[in-house]
Amino acid sequence: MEYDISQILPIVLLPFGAFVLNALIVKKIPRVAVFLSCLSIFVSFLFAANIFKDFFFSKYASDFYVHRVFEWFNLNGGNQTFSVKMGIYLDNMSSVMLLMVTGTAFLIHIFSTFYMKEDARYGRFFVYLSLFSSAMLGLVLSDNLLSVFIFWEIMGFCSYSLIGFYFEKEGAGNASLKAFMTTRVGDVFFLFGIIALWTTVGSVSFVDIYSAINDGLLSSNISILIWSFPVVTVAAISIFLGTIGKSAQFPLQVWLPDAMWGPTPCSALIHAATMVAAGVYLSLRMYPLMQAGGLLIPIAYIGAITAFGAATIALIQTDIKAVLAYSTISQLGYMVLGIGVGAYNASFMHLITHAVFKACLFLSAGSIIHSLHDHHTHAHVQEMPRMGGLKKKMPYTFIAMLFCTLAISGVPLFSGFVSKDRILGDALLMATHNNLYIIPALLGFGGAFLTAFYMFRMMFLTFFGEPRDKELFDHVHTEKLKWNQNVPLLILTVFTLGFWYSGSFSGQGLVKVYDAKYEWFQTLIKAPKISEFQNYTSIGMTEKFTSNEIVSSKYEPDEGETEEESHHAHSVHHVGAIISILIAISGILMAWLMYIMKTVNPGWWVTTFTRWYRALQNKYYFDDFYIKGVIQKLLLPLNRTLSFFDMGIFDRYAIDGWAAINRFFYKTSRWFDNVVVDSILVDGTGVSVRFFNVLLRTIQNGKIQFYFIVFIAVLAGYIFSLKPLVN
Amino acid sequence: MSHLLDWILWMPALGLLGVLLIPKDKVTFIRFWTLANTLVTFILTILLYSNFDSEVAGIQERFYVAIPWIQQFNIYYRLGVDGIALPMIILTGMLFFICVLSSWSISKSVKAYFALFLMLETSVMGVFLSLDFFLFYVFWEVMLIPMFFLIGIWGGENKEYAAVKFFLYTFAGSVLMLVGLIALYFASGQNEDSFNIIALQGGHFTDMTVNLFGSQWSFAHLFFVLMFIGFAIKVPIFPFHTWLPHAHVQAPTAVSVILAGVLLKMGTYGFLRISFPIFPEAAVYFRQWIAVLGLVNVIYGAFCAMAQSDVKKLVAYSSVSHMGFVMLGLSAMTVQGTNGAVLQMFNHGTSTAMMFLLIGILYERSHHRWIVKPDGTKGFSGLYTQLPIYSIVFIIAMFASMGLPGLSGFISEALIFLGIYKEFTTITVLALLGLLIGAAYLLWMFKRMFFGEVLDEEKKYTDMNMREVFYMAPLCIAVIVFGIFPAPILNIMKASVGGLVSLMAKYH
Amino acid sequence: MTNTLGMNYLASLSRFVPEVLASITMLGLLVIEASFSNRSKQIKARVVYGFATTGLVVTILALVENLQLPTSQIFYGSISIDTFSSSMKLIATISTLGVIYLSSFSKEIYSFLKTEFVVMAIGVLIGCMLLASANNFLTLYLGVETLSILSYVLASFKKVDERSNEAGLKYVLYGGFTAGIMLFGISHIFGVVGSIGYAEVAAKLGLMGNMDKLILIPSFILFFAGLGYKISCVPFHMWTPDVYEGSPTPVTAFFSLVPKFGGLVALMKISILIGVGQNVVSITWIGLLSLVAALTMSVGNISALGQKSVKRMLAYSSIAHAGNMILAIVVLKDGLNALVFYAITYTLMTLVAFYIVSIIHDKYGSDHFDRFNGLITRNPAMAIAFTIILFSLAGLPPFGGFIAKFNIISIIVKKSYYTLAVIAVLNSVISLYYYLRLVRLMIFKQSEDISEISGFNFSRQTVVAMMTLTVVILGLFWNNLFDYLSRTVASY
Repeated sequence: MEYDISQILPIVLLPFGAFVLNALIVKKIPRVAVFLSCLSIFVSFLFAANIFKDFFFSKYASDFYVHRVFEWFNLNGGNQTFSVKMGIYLDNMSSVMLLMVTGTAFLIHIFSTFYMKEDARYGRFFVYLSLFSSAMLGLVLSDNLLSVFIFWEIMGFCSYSLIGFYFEKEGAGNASLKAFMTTRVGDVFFLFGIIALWTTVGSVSFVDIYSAINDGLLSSNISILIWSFPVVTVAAISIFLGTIGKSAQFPLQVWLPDAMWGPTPCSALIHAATMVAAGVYLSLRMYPLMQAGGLLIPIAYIGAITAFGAATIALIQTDIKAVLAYSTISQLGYMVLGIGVGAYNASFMHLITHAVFKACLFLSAGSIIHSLHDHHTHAHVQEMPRMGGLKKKMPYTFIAMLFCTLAISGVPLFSGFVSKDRILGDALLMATHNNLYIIPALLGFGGAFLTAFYMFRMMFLTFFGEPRDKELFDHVHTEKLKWNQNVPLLILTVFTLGFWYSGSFSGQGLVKVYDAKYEWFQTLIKAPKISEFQNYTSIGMTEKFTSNEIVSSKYEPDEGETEEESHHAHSVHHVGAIISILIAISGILMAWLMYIMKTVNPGWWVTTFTRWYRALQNKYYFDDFYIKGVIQKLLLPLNRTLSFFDMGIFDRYAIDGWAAINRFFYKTSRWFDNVVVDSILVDGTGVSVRFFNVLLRTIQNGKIQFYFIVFIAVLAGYIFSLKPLVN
Repeated sequence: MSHLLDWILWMPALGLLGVLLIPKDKVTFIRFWTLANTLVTFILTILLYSNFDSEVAGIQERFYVAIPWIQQFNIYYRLGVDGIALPMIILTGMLFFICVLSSWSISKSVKAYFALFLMLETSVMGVFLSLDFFLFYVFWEVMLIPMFFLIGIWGGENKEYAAVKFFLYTFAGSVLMLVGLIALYFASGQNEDSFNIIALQGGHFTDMTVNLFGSQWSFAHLFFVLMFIGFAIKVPIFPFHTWLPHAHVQAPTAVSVILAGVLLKMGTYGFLRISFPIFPEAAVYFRQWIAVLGLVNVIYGAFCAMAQSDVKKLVAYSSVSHMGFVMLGLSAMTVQGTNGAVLQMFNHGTSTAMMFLLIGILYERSHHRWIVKPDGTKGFSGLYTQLPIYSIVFIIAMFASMGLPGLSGFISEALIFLGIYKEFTTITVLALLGLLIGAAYLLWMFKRMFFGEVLDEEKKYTDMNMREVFYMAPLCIAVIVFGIFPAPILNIMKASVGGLVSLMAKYH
Repeated sequence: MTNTLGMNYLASLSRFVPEVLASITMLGLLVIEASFSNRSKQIKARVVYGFATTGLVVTILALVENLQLPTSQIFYGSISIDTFSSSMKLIATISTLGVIYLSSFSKEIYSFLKTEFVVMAIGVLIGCMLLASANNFLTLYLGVETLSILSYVLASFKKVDERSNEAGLKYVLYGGFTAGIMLFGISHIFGVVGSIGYAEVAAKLGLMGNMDKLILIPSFILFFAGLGYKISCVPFHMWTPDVYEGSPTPVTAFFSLVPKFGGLVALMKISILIGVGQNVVSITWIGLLSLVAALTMSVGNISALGQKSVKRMLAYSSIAHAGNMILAIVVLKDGLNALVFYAITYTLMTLVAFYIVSIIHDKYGSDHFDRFNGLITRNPAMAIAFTIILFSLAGLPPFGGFIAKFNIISIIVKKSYYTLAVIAVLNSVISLYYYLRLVRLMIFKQSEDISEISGFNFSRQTVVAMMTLTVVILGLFWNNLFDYLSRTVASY
């Protein structure tokens, strides 16, 4: 198919245009602004769908990419040349990503028209949403790390503004500050990684970096302080730190739970579906770098720790959004784990599936919260202990949430199972090869169990049983099918089914669809083969794509594997699948026993493992450490000391000291005159005061003798000082 | 065409004469006169920009004036622009125009205020335009006199101390420069071009030595250091920076805007125009020390800024930190670094100007600047609710100076880091910490002032009026547009910068 | 080019016109004083000042005439008329004129003593001229004495004022003492060299070996004491503040100008003769001069820092300026035009400063700093003029003071006395500090009384304005003057 820029650029430019326009008109006519935002994201959804169609059907089973470059600015002067290029890089992965982002974003826009309606800043919310969507789409289309970083930061800004959307609340302010600063820590390293790569490779476009890795350009060393590392490692670490910040991985996960201060739809879009996934997306794009940097094992550990740790915290949360927040962290952990164990397309698939069901979960939570309105405090209720039995009142929401919960818990036939199971399967496979992977694998499975448990705990507490807050319950209107409340949920619900992704219900892609040998996801999405990118030449914005952009390659799942290796892999995958199914079932069963049958008393756990319970309540004391420890005990005192030193000591003494020194000299000369001359010399020689009264009085006051003495002394001094000249 | 420079330089002086002729009590007339005058100057600078040939490296023939002034010393009235001076000139024109608008509310002896203000503009323009070292020095010094009075008369409670400190401090630096320039004159053989900055450039003095205290010293190194102190005090580079917080906090809004927006740039401009090209070898010799000082500025300034409870002082320290980035960029002596530095000079000019203007606007309503009052209570809170437009402009300014991509600050900082990475990797890593703290103190300040409940005393604050919006608008546009399309500025500077970098490259 | 008009007195006199004219003026004034004794004061005053002014103007014209002439030595080579000394004499005469104008309205000069003041002033001027154009040590001594003796009287001019008397007495004792030492030095030189003419001494010096030269060094230093005392350079400066503060303002102004110039010219001439070449004497001499210059600048400025009385502050600053001018002497012939230029600007600045101080002093009976509070509101013209002058004194562009400093520093940098140069510029920073103090009081402070300042009438305003304007113009368009100086003076 023929591509020129007019088919791709609108995806980014439409929401951006909407943002610019809305920013100007939102004060006057918020309704129009809202409409524009929704329209723009819808149109870009159509464009994205069109592109996806092309990638999906016409070019099926062969991957190719469109790469368009233009020069942003250059610094060519004298004999110096330096040029900064921007561009579009569109391949299978980004086409899928585009579809996901535009789709969820559009549905969330629609839902927001329902959720934010009564809000005073209804219009402004959509302004931020448009800016965010354009930034996210720009990130997906970026062909180089610099523009990724730019959009990355703009998204950070949007997230900052949306978390602080209710800025009257003290907590919202803190949360937004915390979110921005925590991610900023990662971003700073990310920027450093970009600079390191840029200086070494001479460009930061993905293809150049791939080919550079292939040519081993990055093996050179750089020295920081006294140590020296290979560039590739430093760059990989720095860029992965960016991921850690953005995707809320251990140890920078602290910001995401607080981010729930934002309105629920933005939590759905930014802090569940898209922005946090951008970190994972970046790491996937940079997968060859991570590989070359020998970073996979650490990544696997980080992912596994995050997946498990977050899940444990989620166990005891009572705020429905908090549960979802921790589950998000945990699921992101699975994606990272996937990268770590080399499950490239499983990880990406989990990104997509998670985006769908997590967005749906958040929207459902939103519609619950929105309908639970406390008439005493005039606030929406998020506390699960006050819910219960909502199944009867909100059937549609219930359906949606149930499907999503089944998906996230990894129940077969649902999307979550397909993707997560593959990650766990690969983790298991790696564990059989390399002992170091045993722990991540175990943590992964453990996390899966916990996930199933706490998600169903949430379900049961919310929808089943008797309503615990009767009055609140009675005020809930019975849900009717509304185009902008439940319809978006239901649409998303449809896509929580597994076969959309696996092309088969079993999830073990063995069924042919679209006359292909293998399922589409595995075919389209696979780790970039850096060898393909040698002597690749990027082409200008306006030119039509040419055949040299197509690198056709057949998909071979068992590529480079011997017979029994592949057989081993398959058997391990099967084992993994069975284990995870069992785990999911048992988790659900556990929750059922606790919260429906009440046969197992949760209180018992609390009393038995009190210290653990407190640790969980305090989120493993991370916030205490960062805020109380690092910031309040280290940073602020340091600042105060420095600024005191600056004004109180350095300025006062070292700078104004000069004036003091001069004054001192002045004083000494004065003192010399007054004390030495008057009291000692003059009064000392006061014998002659009796004679020549007037004369001598004058003399006394005027210290004449002293002048003479000094005079003689000086002359003598001169004369003696010449002694050395004689010989 | 060459007359254009004369016009740009002397237009404010004409305005000054006009102001002196207007009777004291015709206040509004004086204001409008000054406004018109600065506007004309600004338009002239734009005209200069439009006629500027961005391909030419170095001084452009068509904008070059050279008239003999003092034959005995071959001192010329010599003006000219190149790609490094032009952005500064445009910035000066714009900021002075804006500052006249922002000082509309000045009521204390208006005539004297605007007279001194225009005198300041002439001297600043002179510094950026003059290519004769003597002329440069004269303007450099003359600039002190109006600053002294502007701070000392219209300043805050502790104005006299600040004014005197500023005056003495800068004077001390510049007299050392005076010795340097005289020494250069004789070292270059007292000929036709001995005060011609352009002719002096190119490292003619590399191999010269001077005899001092009975030992031989490199002429270039000695006088590079001497002039470095002179310029460093203006920038200001640690440890010569302490005049800045005093001056900024005490100065009236418009003056702190000019101080931060333009005057600090004169220091770095001095490096680009004089120190580096004239003593390239010495510059290369000392570059790691310059880089270290720049780093200290970045970190130290940021840390100090975080501890401030007076918002104006906070921003003052933040400009110490940001000028540190400029020094880092200069020390790199690579094409990215130097371009980044010059761009950062311009961008910092706009963003800090915005910050100070906004603080001034707030001060006119609140009459205090405490984030946290000395007694520990909140100085401000919930301004976002009370002053929505103001807050949005403030956000733009804040994120611009923080270096958020999409706003002007980012590109320059990224270029600077890109420039120094290869030269000083460790310093790059540490300087990135400055970037982090930079975000921290700004956002923390923003959170404390703008989020939360509205205080009762703030209920009476009114949002920005038309005049204020009108003069903030151009800066906002500049910050955003140059954040997305830096090319317009980079294109005019890159040729000249490239020439400079190639010159430096010969020596390392 | 020096032609000695040995025998011919008349010919000598033809070159000696200015001095003669000045003397005639002085005598004429005595006659007037005597003849007018019983008439009304106003007329007398008018006549006196008219006569004095005309006399001095004529003298100035004569000096200008002399400037055109080539260097020539008259009266058996005891006196040399040359462009350098003539120009300095010119400046001295102009400053005398300025001081006389100041005395005409200063309340500190009692009305019945104004004539005497004028007479004395012109007498001192004649002494200064003699000192300036002296060509041998005897004439020089003559000049110094003429200058001194009359100065003693001037110093104690306020008969009833204790401090004025004290100043006079101090001046006498100190002056006598130094004169003695100087005489001793001169006689010693005569003893060794066997001649007192500058030229001869220099010539003989050239023939001597280093060991013999060593013997001369102390005598030269002793001789330097006398001149140093007139220039009031460290460490012979101690009398200055007391005398300056004690004596009436016009006298102070006078002292800070005319005697200094005389001394400087003599010092310059002698330095040019004995400071050349690379021998013990020259090295010592130049070393001594540079040391003295540095000390004078620093001590002068630092002592000026904490002063309470503006007059005293100006006195100290005048010491510092003397130090600057000695810098010009350190580089010998190259410093000539720089020195003259400095003298010109310095004269203008000092006169304006003392005019204003004396007006303030006349109003309040004191020149304490706080008397200047808020001058800008009470008398803007005065305040602005004073501000410009103070900045100029500190050496800020675009004022004459800066150019003067620039010339001197440039010349010493040319001779690569970098340390001296740095000391000089840093001193100007210190000086700026105390000048700023005054500016600050005048412009930032609010004054307690807002009464109109009398005695700054139109004529005085014009004079002050003219001088200030000249200072500014000298700061911007100094090309022609400097050009002229380097053509005439430097030719010496």
